[in-house]
Amino acid sequence: MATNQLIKGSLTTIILQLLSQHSQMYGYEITQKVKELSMGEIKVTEGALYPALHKLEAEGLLDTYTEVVDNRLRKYYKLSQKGKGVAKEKVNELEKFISSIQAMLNLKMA
Amino acid sequence: MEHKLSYNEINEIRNWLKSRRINYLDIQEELTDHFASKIEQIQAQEDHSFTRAFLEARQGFYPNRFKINYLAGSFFKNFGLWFWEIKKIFTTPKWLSILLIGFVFIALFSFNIISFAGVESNFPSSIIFYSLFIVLLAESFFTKAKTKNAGYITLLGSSYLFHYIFLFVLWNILGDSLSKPFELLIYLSVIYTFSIAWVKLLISKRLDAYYTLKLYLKTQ
Repeated sequence: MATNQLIKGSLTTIILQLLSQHSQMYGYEITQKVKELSMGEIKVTEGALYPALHKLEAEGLLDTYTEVVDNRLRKYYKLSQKGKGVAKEKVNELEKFISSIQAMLNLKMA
Repeated sequence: MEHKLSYNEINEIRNWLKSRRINYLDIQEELTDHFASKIEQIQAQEDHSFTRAFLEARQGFYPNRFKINYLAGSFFKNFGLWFWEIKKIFTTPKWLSILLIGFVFIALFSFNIISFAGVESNFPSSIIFYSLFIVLLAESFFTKAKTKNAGYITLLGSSYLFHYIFLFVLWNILGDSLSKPFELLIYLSVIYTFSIAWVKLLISKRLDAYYTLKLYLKTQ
């Protein structure tokens, strides 16, 4: 399983990418989607997810609204106009970074 | 079939979070939903009792992380949020439309107070306000979008109140400028934009508190 430190730097990009593929998502749904897509390799904890979501909201990258669902309040997140642009940038940035790391690892192995 | 938690079970999660000093209302409600969803999933997969599923769901939860990040009810936190709201308005092109709406709104409501473009008018501005208020109130009763409309009603009501407070203050401070209504409208529109940020913040907090209270009362 991927360690927390490896995930830490890319969590916001993962969140932005997921929200660019779904019109809206709530916190627990995000954790489950990450788990499903990574086939259980990446587990996002509450302590990492919500501070990251709230930071993105404060930066104006996410819009939110609240609904009463099954006897409780549910807060939904979606990308703001600004967030859509930033999501693309962040994903490109991470892809470049992964290729660089990949190149370095291949170099060492060769 | 997926089992849904009862009001009492939801309240048990909320009380547990409170006992862990997760006092900030927004975080408390969001984590309540998080743990409730997790428990429901565990129960659907493993047919556990609520107590057992809850114990399983909260494994690996460290409340300290939340205490550090969110200072409950802090004045500076709220002040910071207000600036974030203002920043949000000014970083997108919508600030111009908000300013324009504020300008039109104030111009309409000020018709019977100040002389606009040199023409004295007794236009009954209150009619516009109450018509809008009644339309929104009626709509909130007949549509499902209660949250959104309740927000609009509060925003409209607060703006109207702000408008008269600011006008009263400016009347005393500016004095002569009242003979220049165009300048006065600019001042008011800017203040109105800042007020919107503050009211928007209050609405989000009030609505969350309102729904929490509503859910709490249902459990009694």
